[in-house]
Amino acid sequence: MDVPDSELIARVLAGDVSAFEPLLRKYQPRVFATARRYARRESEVEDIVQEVFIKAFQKLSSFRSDAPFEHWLMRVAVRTCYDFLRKHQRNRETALAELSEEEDRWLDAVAHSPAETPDDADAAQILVSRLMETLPPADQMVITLLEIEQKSVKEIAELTGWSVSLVKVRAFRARAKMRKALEKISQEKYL
Amino acid sequence: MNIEQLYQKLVEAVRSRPADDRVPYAFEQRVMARLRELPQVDLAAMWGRNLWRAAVPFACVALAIAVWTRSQAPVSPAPSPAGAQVAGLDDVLLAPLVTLETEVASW
Repeated sequence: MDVPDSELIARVLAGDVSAFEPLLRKYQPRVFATARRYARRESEVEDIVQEVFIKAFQKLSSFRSDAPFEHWLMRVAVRTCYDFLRKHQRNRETALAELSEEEDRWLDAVAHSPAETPDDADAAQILVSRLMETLPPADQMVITLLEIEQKSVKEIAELTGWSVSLVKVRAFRARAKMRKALEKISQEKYL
Repeated sequence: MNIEQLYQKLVEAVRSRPADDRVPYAFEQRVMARLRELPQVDLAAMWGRNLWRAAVPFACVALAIAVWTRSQAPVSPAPSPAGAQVAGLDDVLLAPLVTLETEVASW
């Protein structure tokens, strides 16, 4: 039988470190899925997830049991991913330099039959990652949460700690920048 | 090509991919080993907790000292406003003499 999170948390706070392991096992797939949205290399993903759980362990005393532990943990995860993006800003100019064969094929398929969506979702994922790399970290964060994970503005505000109006402004600007980058790609390809 | 349509297609394609939640083998053991290595005392949290705990006793002590000091203060009759004015005038008039006396004494 599963021990409730609240009981495990109380044991950890009382000094029983091993009580954290069931929490780790239970939530690590969710945290891995989140981290993979922001980091491409597997070693980076593992570093992010490890940092999330270490932070969660160290700040567990600040967890208020009025909300589920998972919500609190996801806030820690999203903020850790944001810190990762800020630390690992890649060269925005070179992000769109050369498209791979798969990405080219994906764009061609959409250009020739706009009504259909090509099967190769991996190519679309790489293309989106490329476009994202042209954006500042805050914009990458907001596009991922809003467009890919389909979270509401309020949820994003809770996860990131930003105000609702700031999320709206960032979302508007980030979408405009994404479209501009996409326009640049398609102009270079088709003109 | 319609950029808006292309953008929507891209986003839809990425959404259609299931979230990759695979966990590397024995990852939790690696994290647990790191957690066991960490110092168990969170100094900042402990300091914050202790400060909050100490707030009430310190407030009580401050209140007790205030009450005690007030009760120990000598009860002197309030000087009449006229008397206070005279004393103030004396101080002002005699101030140069007092200064002179101290200077002479130091010679």
